[in-house]
Amino acid sequence: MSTAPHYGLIGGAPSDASAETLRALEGYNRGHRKNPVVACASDMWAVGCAETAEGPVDYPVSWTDIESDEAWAKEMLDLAGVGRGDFAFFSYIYSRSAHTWPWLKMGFERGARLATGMPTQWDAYRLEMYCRLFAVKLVFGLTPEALDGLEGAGHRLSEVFGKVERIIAVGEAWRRLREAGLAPWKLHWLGPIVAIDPCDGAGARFDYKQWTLEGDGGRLTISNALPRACAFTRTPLAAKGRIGVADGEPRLFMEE
Amino acid sequence: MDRRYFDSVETAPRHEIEARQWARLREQVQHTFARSPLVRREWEKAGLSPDDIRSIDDFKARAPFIDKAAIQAFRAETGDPMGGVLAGDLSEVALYGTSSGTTGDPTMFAESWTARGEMIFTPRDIWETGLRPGDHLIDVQMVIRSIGRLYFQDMGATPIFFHHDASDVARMLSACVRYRPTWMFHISSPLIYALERMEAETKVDLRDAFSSFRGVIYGGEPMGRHNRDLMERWGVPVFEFTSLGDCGTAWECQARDGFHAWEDLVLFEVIDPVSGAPVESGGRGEMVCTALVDKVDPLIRYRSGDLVRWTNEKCACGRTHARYWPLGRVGDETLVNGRSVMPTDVWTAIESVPETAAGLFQIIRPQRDLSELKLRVGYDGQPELNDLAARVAKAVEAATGIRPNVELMPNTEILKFGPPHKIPRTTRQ
Repeated sequence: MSTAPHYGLIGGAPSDASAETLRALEGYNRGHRKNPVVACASDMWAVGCAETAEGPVDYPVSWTDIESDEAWAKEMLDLAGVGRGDFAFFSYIYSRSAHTWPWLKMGFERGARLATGMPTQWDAYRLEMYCRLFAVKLVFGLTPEALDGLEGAGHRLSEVFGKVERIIAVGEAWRRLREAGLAPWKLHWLGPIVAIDPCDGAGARFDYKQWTLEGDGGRLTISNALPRACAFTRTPLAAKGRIGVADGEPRLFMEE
Repeated sequence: MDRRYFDSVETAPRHEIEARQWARLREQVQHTFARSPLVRREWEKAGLSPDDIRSIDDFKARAPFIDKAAIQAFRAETGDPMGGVLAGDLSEVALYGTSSGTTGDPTMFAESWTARGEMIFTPRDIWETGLRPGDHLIDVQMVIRSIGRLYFQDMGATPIFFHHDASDVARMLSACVRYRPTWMFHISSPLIYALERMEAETKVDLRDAFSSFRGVIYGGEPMGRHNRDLMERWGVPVFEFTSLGDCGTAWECQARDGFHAWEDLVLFEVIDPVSGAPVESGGRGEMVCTALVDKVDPLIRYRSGDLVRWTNEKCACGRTHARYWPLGRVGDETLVNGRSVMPTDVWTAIESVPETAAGLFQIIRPQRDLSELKLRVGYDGQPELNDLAARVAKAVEAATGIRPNVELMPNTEILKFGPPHKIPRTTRQ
């Protein structure tokens, strides 16, 4: 049993929690698993938001679902080369927390140092600060709006990101970073999932064990390949592409 | 599930709180002196060592203050991003966050992965304001600080995630009807403005949308009278929260009579901002906080710059810890030909004009001393601007005795000057 002070701040247990409760909470923190000591704790981890062709859709995510998603995020952090002690910055809007939490949790678990920000013009100054003060290994989710905020404040993209080892950018931000002499990867928000394209010609990686992407006349649809709290069945996405095979696994080739 | 208080320490007698404070303070002083370069430097400058501190009173009488300027100066001198505040091993730091400051680099905060003492919200406040295991809640945070801490899942509840932006308000209202959530974290002036517009444009029934809530947490800046009236009209059971001197947050309780400072977690003081002398219960002064359980980046005798009124009288809710009422920021005061003007002095006047009732304004303040009061004020609709500027100026003059120069812009534009949850009430340009 942990001898660290408890203070009544974690796990839904007060500071005078019994030794039995504290034993049950051992290792419980930061959403590791469904709360083991609170009666009536929810079986659902959260309700996320998926952007589909028909607009945003709420979708429940169970504790089992989120653990499955964490396994894929772990592989992607490996691919991006994020290891113990590395600094990684994640830029996203809070409604996409179900997409990004697996990345954050896997980052924490490997001992990386993380920071988060919003993909907006307003928050670009904090992104610039992090890139200036730390040796940043990964910037995830860089958007055109963030680049507008940086350039609007007089920053040159090549200077802000010149020492960042890996950038994963969204949409038009990818082209602007290339024009600035950088070599970003691409991030695609696809309904309930993300796909990561390392721009190596072998297509974008996605969690094909959990999800099936199909190209329906160029228009992508998504289905869950394994049972999840919320079923998606050929749900149209607001993106076009085709599915091919590379390195023996399904890959996404986007039409942009 | 039916207990009144989450934690028995909330209603602990004064002597018990002080006993916990002293035990934690003694340990914290040793910890930070040994590990925090800024604390060590300031204490050595004062000729003080942890062994010199024999009581809480000793600490309050002798420990040197630290403020944001000292942290920034240390950062500039040494290149240490944490400004000398980090008192844990760098390898322990899992998550960096910042304040939402808009001038210069913001203050940085660090958390460990296990995060036993450095969290910014407490289950006590979440429980007191109505969240229970098994509930759904509207979770509409920003992505600035402490995002790696799943407070609400820890409580056994299910968050429904939203973007803290007007663009996600329609989906939020749909979710209120679909899931009938009981709690929301958090609503802000810009979101209230978005709801007000949606109500006007679509006639959505906001009383029905909020009918299932036990608590809706408001933060970012003080709530103006107009927004308070809207909360009442929509039947929103609102509770405000505010910063506890950058050592955490303080929340209102069911009695809604001040913000509770948890004194077993933070040593809370109020001082005269000029002399540094202690201000007794019932008085007004600057809030000073010392983190008692945060071992990663504890602030020690940190001058917050927040002016407050405070009391240590027991609250009607039954809790025994100190309470305070924010009055403004020390740095927000503007002197117009020697006369003091705070944002709160003009707020109600601006809200009293129908087109500017949303209360979205900034005091344009290149420096503290000015010869003219300049205001940037947001408006709704398509009013005749010269007439509106004159009416706003007249209302402000009636409230402050100072005739302002008023610059008008649409509410949707003035909101772009700030983070998603507020606009800076003073600005250099």
